[in-house]
Amino acid sequence: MKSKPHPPAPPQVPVHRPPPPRVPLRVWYAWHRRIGVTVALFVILLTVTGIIINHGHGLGLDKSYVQNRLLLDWYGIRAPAAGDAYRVDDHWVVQLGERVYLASADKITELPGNGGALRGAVTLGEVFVIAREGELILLTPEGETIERIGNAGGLPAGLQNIGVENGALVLKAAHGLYTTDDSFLDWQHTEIGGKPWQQPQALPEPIYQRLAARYRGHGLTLERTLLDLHSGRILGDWGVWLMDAAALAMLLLALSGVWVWWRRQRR
Amino acid sequence: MPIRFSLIFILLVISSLALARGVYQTPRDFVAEAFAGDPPKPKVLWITKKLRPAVQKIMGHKLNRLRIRYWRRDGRSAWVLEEIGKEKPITVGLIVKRDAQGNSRLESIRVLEYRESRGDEVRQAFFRDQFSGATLTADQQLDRPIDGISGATLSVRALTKLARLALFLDQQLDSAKN
Repeated sequence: MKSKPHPPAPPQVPVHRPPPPRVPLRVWYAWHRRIGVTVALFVILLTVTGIIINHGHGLGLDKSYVQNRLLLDWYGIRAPAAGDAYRVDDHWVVQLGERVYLASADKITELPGNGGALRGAVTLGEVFVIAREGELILLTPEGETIERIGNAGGLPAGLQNIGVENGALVLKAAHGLYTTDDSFLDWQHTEIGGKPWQQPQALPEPIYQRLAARYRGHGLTLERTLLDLHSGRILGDWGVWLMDAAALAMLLLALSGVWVWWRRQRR
Repeated sequence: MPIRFSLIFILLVISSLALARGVYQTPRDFVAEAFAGDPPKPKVLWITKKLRPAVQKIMGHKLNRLRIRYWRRDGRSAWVLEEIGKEKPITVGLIVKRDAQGNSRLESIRVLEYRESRGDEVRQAFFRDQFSGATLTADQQLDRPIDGISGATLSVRALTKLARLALFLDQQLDSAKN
């Protein structure tokens, strides 16, 4: 028995789906323009600060300090209370925080190094001898550093006090008393009868005020400020998020610009 | 697996940052080692008005001290010098030796204390070995180029300056009354 042939399949009718709704070009333009105007200020800020930061070292920004009081207050930079202070001739040797200063009536010199707590200061002939816990600093009366003597120079460890006995420098250190030669090259144990140790004195308030201004004025570099302006950190955590948002907006600006250009090319 | 690699990478980066600063050898130990445990008594070289221009040219700024301590025996001198890398001083120990012709040659250079948060690759032997045997040219430059290290440009510059300074100072020892 012959089977009936299958009827031919009906012709397929193409389905005309409506094209997805396209956002008109003018809408893209409008948003591109809005984003552009919104982030224009940020583009200028980031570009200018970025270029300056790139050349910061050459411009000496890492060695230039902000003096504006409002900005220093904004950063919370305050001078610490004065630590031990020693009177040496007509100078004061004072520690503020980790820094040690030599102050006279008309000049303030920040001493180099970071040898720990100030232990005393004496004059020996024409030389100012400043003792810190791990370092001895020799200065001229003008505040110029002659030498910093530390561990390599044979300085006894754990300096506690300093004094002058019979014209010779005497140190009280962790392991006893020591004295040295005229050139500060050799240190030997010694014994003394008296107590020649320097005692700290109360620092006059006007001197402290000058030192505090100096401390604050050397606490914030221009480079740090520009970096914080660039990253938004100058406004704290919110500033960072704000700069993130600006960066995203700039990304959108670039993408929408390319998109608008591409759509115009296809027309 | 990629997460594991990322974690290892992050830990490596953090540990390298944490390890950058440190005291690698005390100046006293450096000097003792330079003279096999029996260092000579120290002497000082005064940076006189005559020497100041050359020293300033080498360092690129005025030297912040008037005299420099050194240890010397049998034509070998040891120096402990400091120069700021980016923001903080790098303490460096240098040994200079006179060769048969009387020229000052750098025998070794070592970073004793590094205080910056990064850039301490300068303490590695692959970098320091470039200085071995270096001398000064007439215009107080090293007689060889020193390859830089990416990310440690200022530390490289600081060590190069100190190498030049130590060689220059050693050259002054015979002429100066020290």
